[in-house]
Amino acid sequence: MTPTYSRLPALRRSLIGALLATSAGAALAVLGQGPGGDLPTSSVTPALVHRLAAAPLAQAQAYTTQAFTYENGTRVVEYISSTGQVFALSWRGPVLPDLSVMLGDYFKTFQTQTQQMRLQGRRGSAVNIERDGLVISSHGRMRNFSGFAYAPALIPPGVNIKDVLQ
Amino acid sequence: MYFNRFLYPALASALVAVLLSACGGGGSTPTATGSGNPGGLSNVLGVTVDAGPAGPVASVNVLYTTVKICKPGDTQCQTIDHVMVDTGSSGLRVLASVLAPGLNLSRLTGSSGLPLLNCAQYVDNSINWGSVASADVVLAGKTAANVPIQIIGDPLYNQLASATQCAGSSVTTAQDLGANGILGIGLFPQDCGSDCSVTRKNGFYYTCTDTNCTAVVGTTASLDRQLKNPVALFSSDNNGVLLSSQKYSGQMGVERTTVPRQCR
Repeated sequence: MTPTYSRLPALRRSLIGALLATSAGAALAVLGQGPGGDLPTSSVTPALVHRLAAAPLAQAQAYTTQAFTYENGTRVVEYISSTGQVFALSWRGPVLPDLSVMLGDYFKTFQTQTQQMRLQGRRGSAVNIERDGLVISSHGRMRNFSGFAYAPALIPPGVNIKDVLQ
Repeated sequence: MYFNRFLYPALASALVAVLLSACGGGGSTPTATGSGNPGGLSNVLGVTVDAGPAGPVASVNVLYTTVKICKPGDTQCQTIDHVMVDTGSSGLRVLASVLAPGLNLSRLTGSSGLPLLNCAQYVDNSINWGSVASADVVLAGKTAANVPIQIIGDPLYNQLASATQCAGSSVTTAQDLGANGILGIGLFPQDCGSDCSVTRKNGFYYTCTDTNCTAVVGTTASLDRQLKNPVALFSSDNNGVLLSSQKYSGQMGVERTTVPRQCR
């Protein structure tokens, strides 16, 4: 139902559909949960190869990444710990991805804080929140959004989040 | 929306002006003073910084102007105050709730012949969702004819807001928006551009799936149907915008902020 993300392989959709029964089928990674699709393994199908991340970064043992570009041009990267948990996300592109899905349980904190900003007369402003176990930054302008979110408590030991998101 | 407001100091009442076309060469370079139509020059639009439309939450650092919209080619017009000036988006967006019912702007249709709907996203995850209509847009003494504009929260289609694929928190009231509309005079002539003319699932444009509009689906929108920076459509003074203000004593005022666009 979310056409923006429909280029994802069916396998991914079915996995996430099970995870997010109420999310209208949006196939996105969810912060604090498993990755949006199967982890890169030796059994990756050709269809999956396109969206797999570039080679893991320096701290390869601590985490892996998966990236995919949606038809609307926005690219989302998910950062996955060795236990299979998404501990960070980043995005860049013309369309803001669906944060209500991507942030999972953390969206409530985001929503509360952004509503607070609006109640102070700061409507539509760039977002920089560090609160209740969530760090999120959202900025840019029409046609060019970018941002990142992570859960400090979920960052694998020894990983510097600044290196991860650079 | 609302992207570059930090450029402006928080002032209870300040006067600045938008010079339409000021990319050097062509166009005049008047001294902007006063509000409304400063100096009576056709390409100078008065703008102000104030608390915004009535509501419990005063706006902070928002630049407002007054826009006149008319039925295309008609003398039937409406003047709308407190339209936010936004250098981060492109296109004019007006709340359905402030439009005079009698104006009855004709809605545009998509390639399928069914209503064309627009999604505007902002960095705090707020969105404007609504139909695309055609209007003549008058800024100071300049007119842009047949401009696709967005009617935010158009009651004809707003029941779909909660089910829309336009991700974000829908804003449909002046109190929530902090303005009666948004005048996007950003860097691009259209809000989306060529991607939306070829990609159906583009995130900006949607259309109804049937004549009753029981659901919406992503659709392509040709450039001529996309929301546009009205300045680019003027017959002259159309190649850029300059935001200019007086110097504020005792304040960290912005004296001149240029927003170059299509300067050649």
